Amino acid sequence: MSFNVLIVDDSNAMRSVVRKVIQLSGFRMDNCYEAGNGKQALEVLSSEWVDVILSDIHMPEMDGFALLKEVHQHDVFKNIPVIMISTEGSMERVNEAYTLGAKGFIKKPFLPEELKRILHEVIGVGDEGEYQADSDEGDF
Amino acid sequence: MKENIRQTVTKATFEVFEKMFFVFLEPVEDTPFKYDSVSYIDFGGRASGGFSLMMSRGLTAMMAENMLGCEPSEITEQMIEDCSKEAANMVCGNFLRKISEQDVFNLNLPQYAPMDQAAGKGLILSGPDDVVVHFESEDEHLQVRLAWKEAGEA
Repeated sequence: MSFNVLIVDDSNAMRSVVRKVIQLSGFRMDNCYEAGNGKQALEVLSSEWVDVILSDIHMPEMDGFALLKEVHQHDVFKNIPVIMISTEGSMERVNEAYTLGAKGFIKKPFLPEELKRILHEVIGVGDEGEYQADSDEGDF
Repeated sequence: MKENIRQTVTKATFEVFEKMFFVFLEPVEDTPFKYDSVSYIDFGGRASGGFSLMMSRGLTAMMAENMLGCEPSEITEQMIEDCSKEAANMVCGNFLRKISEQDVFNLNLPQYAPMDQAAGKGLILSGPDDVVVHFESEDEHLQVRLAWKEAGEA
């Protein structure tokens, strides 16, 4: 089974890092969509099916929490797991993210292994070999 | 208190550069250096303030190469700006989490400018009470400057 991933971050550099970590983690990724804020992410979701969303919180126009609310109030999108990736990691912010429906929270800076572990937990693959833990990690 | 904050700035900066840019920084004494660019971010909450990260060209190029996995010839100015802004964002967020995981701080969007434009844009902190830490890595230079004011402080 392969996955469609949506990465939402206003930083091109951070989107690139997240994409590379996923590619090197052994996940079979069919399509990797990118958006610079929550509004752009909703536009992607309106036309493309995605299996998991990785989103920053702090973005212009529409932040990650607003995106999270929209996704979880939507009849079709509400079951898409959302993982937040942010520098804003106070306990209140983390709890707020989980209350709004986030399935994971990664605090920047992060090691590639942390992103890989949470993706593994959230997508829940591994038994059929889609996730080849530690066997072909490549060089991060 | 100021020494604690200085140590926290040092640790937060070191972690960000090690984990995200694969750059191993070494704190050094203040040495005069002509930096090439500045990234800046400010924040509010229980305390308010800002961070200026002044960097040499070689350091920002190294950060972009390592973070994005690019060859030196592939590095663009936009990549350097993105990585520099992300560095300020992460140093600030990491520092504030180390100060307190209970308090919510609001970070503004990071900014970036070449050195010759940075002062005009207000990106260079210069307060007498700023916490300043200098780093080197492979003969490249970084100065991290923090302005920190507790709520209610004059």
